[in-house]
Amino acid sequence: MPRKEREKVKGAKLNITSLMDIMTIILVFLLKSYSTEDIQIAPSDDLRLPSSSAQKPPELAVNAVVSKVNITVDGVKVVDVSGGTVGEEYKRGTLISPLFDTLKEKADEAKALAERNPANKFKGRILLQCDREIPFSLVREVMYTAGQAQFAEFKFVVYKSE
Amino acid sequence: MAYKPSSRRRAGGDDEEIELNLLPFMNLMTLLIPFLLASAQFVTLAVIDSSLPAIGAPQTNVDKKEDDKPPLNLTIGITNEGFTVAGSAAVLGGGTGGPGSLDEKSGPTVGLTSDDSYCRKVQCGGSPDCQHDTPCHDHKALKELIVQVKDEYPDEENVIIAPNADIAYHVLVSVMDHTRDHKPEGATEREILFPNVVIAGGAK
Repeated sequence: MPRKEREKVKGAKLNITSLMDIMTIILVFLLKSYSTEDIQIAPSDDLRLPSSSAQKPPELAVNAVVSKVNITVDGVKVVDVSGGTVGEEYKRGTLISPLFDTLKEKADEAKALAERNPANKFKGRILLQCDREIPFSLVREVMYTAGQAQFAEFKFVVYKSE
Repeated sequence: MAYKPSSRRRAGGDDEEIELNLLPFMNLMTLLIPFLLASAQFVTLAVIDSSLPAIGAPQTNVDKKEDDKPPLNLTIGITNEGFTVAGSAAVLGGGTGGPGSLDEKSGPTVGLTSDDSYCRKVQCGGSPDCQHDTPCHDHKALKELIVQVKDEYPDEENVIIAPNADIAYHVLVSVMDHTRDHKPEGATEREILFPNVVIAGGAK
């Protein structure tokens, strides 16, 4: 074998530089979209939040989700929703009984905590994630129920559009 | 006649390329990227504040300034026909210079708009496959009216919104958006309009 050919076979090297370029760009992009947000949302067809020009960042609070199919509080399903309303058997007038019971429990828990730790006062904050298509009547019922359970400071969660 | 540079000296080998050992860096990258992907945030969330005045929220309307002007009580009703904007009659009645369109009348103050592209933009945003109704609420006209009201009452920050029972939630959010603040043409800062929203029960 001629000498030149033997040298060619010896070292096959991968050119990694271009891959490095990609990685660096991806790294910068991902660092930019890094989040340490407290609240979690699980977007689905049944829960599409409206977008808004609101700028206030969300904070930690009891999390009530009103989707097209059910109402959940802190990830636990409370009552079913169909056709933009809760079944009559779950309602006492404007009050949604199962939701009231759950929220009352949460409020009592938070108050018991507040008693032991005065720095952590019960402020009655509640995050409401509502699907954009649900009618106001259901939003009102949820707000009324939350109000009865002493959650009076509503925070409507929306997508930031800018 | 030009000669090309001699290539004899180059064959010597002290000019050989030095290669960086990039492998440890690659290892780092392959670890960092999955981690960052998992915690990446693709939608940013925000919240809109509103509180119930009656129950357990004494902090909202306590420190009202003593003012010679009675409160405006700006109320926006949302119905299927449009927006009805009203203030307390004591202030706006008797031609005190308030916008004429604020008078109580039977029809809506701001009617629906039939601008199809506007309705599409408001209701669908960017998503291509979404249904939209064409006569829709005219948030732009409402905002113009609200800006006029704000000029008249610069200290007022409260607004009561009373939607009908069958109004979709996103219309309510949009009304809250347009009454909260606005960005005048050419300005960089947003001007506050009526940020304190109270949502009323509305008509059944």
